[in-house]
Amino acid sequence: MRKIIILISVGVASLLLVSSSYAARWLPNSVTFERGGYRLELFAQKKIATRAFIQNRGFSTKDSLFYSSQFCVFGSAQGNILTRKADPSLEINLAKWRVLYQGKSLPLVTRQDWEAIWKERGVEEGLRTSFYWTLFPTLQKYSPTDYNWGGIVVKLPAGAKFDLQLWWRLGSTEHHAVIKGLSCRN
Amino acid sequence: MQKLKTTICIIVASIGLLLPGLSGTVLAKGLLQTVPGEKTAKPFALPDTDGTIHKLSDYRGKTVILNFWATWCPPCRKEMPSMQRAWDKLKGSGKVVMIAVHVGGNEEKIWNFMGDGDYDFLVLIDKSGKIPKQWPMMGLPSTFIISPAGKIVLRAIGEREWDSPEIIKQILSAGKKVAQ
Repeated sequence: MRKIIILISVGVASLLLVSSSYAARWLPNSVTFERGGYRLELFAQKKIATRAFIQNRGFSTKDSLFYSSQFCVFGSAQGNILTRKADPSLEINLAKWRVLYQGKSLPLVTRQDWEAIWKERGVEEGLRTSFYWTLFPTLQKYSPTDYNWGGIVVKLPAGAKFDLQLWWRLGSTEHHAVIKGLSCRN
Repeated sequence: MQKLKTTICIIVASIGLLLPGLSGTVLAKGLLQTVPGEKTAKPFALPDTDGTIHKLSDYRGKTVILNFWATWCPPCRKEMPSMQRAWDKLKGSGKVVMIAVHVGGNEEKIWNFMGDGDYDFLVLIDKSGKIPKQWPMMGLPSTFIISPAGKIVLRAIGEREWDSPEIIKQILSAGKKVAQ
């Protein structure tokens, strides 16, 4: 009987290995959320790293300070960790995500929002487009094994603690979940 | 009785090991996805790191591996060595071209990056960052395999192990697609 249990475990473990090996390589030291075929990895960036990143893209000191002082940036990798061709596609729509902070429900600051913000600040088009590609796509579909990478931005002060309400669709089914206790770094 | 138990054990373990294969084709390491409808690749003309202009149409008749990347994108950097290894395997045929389009940035940053590696595939620069917006992609890295007839036949969203035998096979199969 013990042998049977051991071998069942080996069988189950092999199944788990197949389903998780693809996703094991994304972001180190990140908060990980995984449900069904969806996987999210998030890490809060330090203010200085946020500032250095866009200043290195060519943004002025004034604009990099504006970005790093008023916004909280997370690096993220998200995607479809299902591994069979016949598995359903995943849709991630950041426009449906919410930041739950001090009783308020706030939207993320997406690529489209940033286009307007930078334009208003007089940032030239080349830099705006460059910045666009650094953020996680607002809306995208992912076939099995597809994933993407990019920044997730929330308008919160350094040190703020908040919950993040996620939205995704796997096949035709919509899903929600809340990641509790995320923090914006100094 | 002992023999029966052993047999049951073997069957149970085998089911566990075989189930993924039984329930569909497993894309365990991330292969390339087929692109429905095989759309015509959007033309572009971009400079390389020396300023020489290259048109995508210059490479009609060959299979083109077209990668969009940036030096600041971690998964892009991560897949570069495997791209070079794939290029080492493929370039001898003369039937395949590998082009990496850097999105935004300038020559200096790209030279710095290339200097730290051992890369000899073609690198072009899209300083405006507008070209990828015309392609069916939302983020970096994204890679397309374009058939000799100029159709997008395969794509990858996110990084891949480009020199894996399965992906090399997929790329070579794309080269067999003849002009319609």
